[in-house]
Amino acid sequence: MSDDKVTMTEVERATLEFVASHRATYIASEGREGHVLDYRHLGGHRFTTCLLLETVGRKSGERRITPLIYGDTGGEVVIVASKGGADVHPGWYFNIQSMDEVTFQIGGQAFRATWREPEGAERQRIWDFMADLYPPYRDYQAATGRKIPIVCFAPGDETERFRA
Amino acid sequence: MSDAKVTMTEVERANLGVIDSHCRAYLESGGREGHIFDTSSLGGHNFLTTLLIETFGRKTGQRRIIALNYGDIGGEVAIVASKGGADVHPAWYLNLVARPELIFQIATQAFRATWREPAGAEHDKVWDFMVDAYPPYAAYRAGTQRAIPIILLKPFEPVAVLQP
Repeated sequence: MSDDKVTMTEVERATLEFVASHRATYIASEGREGHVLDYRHLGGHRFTTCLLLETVGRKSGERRITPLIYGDTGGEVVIVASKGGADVHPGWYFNIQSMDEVTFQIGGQAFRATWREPEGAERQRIWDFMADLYPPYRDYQAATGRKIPIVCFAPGDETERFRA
Repeated sequence: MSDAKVTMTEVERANLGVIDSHCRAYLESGGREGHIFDTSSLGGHNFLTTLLIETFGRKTGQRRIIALNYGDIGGEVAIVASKGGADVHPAWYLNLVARPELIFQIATQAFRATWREPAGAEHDKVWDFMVDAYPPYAAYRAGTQRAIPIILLKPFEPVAVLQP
């Protein structure tokens, strides 16, 4: 065992190509494909819902679109900054720190949204909900000393779908 | 006050037009519209996910498609047979439980699914989750002696989207 921080996990490395094609398909199909995926091969469920999140690179200023598993609870949309259990936060999580609003797309519908990080008992409740949606999150948390952040979006106005 | 059973509530009557046009737009767009629905005018959140289910009349055999709110919990899809708090079950519920399988559609993806009714603590947990997703359910339950059923759908096979 090394004390070095793991910045990319085996899971992430193994799914890099898949994530790239998922993103491309989701965008190119205008959300007709890629919303509901079968993640049984990764330890998830037959029915797993995914969104696209757009962020702007905090250093590069570049627009980035990331496909992520989401849940929705109480009118908010939830994503998990798991990065496959790596010891560093994913880029999108750093990027949203300097953004008051983000845009996400679910199926063919895109929304502007504000975001927040739930705390305390609410965070625990939402964590349990998300880990039921995607059980590997529990392994990811066990694999790192980092406390995996949870982000809740409060959707506002509907906006235009993402384009490639 | 009358002792007669309420078979259609004021809420249902008032929302009939909205519900019907929502269902039609969802179905006719192939699911590109209608999945995420703004229910703030109905006392709900501005972000609520909805699906289409196909049922067959248990007496007539007639095919019917309706739109319903849903929640995604641990890889299963929850729907609530609230009928706006009426004292009788909605027809779709009676039709659904008469068959072992059904087809539902979420946005642009449709699935064949089995179903079950959660009981005990699981029922209560799913009920609370669904009230958070759509707060008017609390008033619906308070307005009737009927135990409002909850159905969990478990998709097992992707199928072609529903046709009008």
